[in-house]
Amino acid sequence: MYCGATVHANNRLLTTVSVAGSSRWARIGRALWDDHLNTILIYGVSLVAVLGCWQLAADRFHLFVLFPPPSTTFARLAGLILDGRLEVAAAVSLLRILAGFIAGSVIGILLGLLLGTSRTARALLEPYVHFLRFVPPLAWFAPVLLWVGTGELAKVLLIVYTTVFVVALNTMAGVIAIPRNKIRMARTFGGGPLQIFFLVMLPASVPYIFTGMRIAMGNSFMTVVAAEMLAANEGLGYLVNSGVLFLDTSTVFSGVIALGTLGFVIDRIFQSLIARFGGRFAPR
Amino acid sequence: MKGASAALPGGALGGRSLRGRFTDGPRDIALALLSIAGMLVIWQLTSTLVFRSILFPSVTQTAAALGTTARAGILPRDISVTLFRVLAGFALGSLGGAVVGLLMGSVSIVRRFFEPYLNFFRFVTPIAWIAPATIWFGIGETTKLFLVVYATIFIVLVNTMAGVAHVHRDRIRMAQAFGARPWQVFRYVTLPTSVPFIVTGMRIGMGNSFMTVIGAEMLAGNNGLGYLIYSSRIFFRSDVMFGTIVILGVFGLTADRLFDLAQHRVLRRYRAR
Repeated sequence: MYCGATVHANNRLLTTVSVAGSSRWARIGRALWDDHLNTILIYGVSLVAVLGCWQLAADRFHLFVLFPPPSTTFARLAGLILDGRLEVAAAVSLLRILAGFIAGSVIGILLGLLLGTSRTARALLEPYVHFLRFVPPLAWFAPVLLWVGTGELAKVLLIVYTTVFVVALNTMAGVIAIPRNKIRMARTFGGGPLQIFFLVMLPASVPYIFTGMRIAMGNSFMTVVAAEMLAANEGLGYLVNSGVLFLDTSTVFSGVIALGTLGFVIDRIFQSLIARFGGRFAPR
Repeated sequence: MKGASAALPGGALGGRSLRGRFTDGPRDIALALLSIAGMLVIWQLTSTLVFRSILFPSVTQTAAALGTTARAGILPRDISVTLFRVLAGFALGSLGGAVVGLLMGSVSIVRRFFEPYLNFFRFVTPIAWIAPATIWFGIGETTKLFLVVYATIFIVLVNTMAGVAHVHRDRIRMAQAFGARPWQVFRYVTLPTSVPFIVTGMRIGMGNSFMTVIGAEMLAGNNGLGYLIYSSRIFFRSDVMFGTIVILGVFGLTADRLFDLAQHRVLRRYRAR
């Protein structure tokens, strides 16, 4: 209560932006505490219980090399963060993902819009899209290595491939799902084909495009980690794999924790993007 | 061609293609076949006339490589090994995902207890687990099974929970009004409503399983289709690589079509409106 009152007093003094921020966080905190006390308690109990079981199991195991306890793992994680190795590895992996993901999304969106609007294009191209999306990206790793070598380009190309088909199919589904009446209405109001495309079809497929990109991002992680394990000397996949080579299991665990955290954070970002923009454009 | 140009200007046809799902008319099928034949011809011509290289095999070379590896018994062995891994891991993962998902969806305390871990582990890409798994289980069959189970279980679990959450309150109330016990509500209301969600999760899980098993066989395997592709690299056998890639695409497509069929035919009575 006291905390809330302070925030409220600050409201009038500070600029609008920071006011919105602080009061919002305070409100969220209060709401969490009031409504979800139960949940927070269960989460706390659950966290303690699982960490305790992990520690006990590791102690019983007596093989710290193969199954490090949480204390060793988190010490190792902190060490990796402090000497900057984890950040560098994560940055390298993320840059690879971003480069391939952005290129793949752009191609995928364009391809999907084409497939969704032109029936002829769909009949001509759909067999390939459906066939290629079932070929795991990693299957292309060997030919790509032969074609462009083991450099950055190979990994980026694999991520482009991972992204394109998921985004294209989702974009196409979005265009196809546009209610007829929306297009009819735009036509009744005198909209030309270009206007209908930019003002009706494109906005209506935005939520589908985001959903496709969200799935593609998850798949990109899988591709980049495997590619880095097979042929790289940097990145999270390489970090994990080097842990295996030196039987340094706590590094392996740290890498896995970093991967999970990154994946979770990026997925949340996509979720909020979908909530922010998807709601406005949601098809009805 | 004449038929195609006659069909195009018709506004009704163009309209239907926007509204309809994948309404494959005879014209679409003809165009698709034409497109496939055209692509094969272009592929053959570019590989024999433009890029004549060992790195870019032609259609005939790819087909010949498939024939050779099939006759040598390599291909059938690797196919059966990979399919076994995918199917066994997928079955275990789906079963586990569905059971745990129903449990977590129905019992609130179990859900709250395990949800943080579920949300953490499902974002760890399955391939990352190959490192701990090889340390624990070696490079044998167990490691690959573990990875495929991992790739399947979370997506099925999350979808199953979504299915349980999707059950309409009024349906449960109605069942209760007719005197159904909790177990009967689960058996006759919750479970049937979740079935389409479980199947959707399994369908995505099957795709993930293929992706994971190929990666696992490339990283730590001495057989299977992933190993076949990756080991062909050493001998510059790009024709074998291409042949295997075609096979993988065909398997993936077949599996997905089977799921489609199951969803629309067998599970019709469970479909949510």
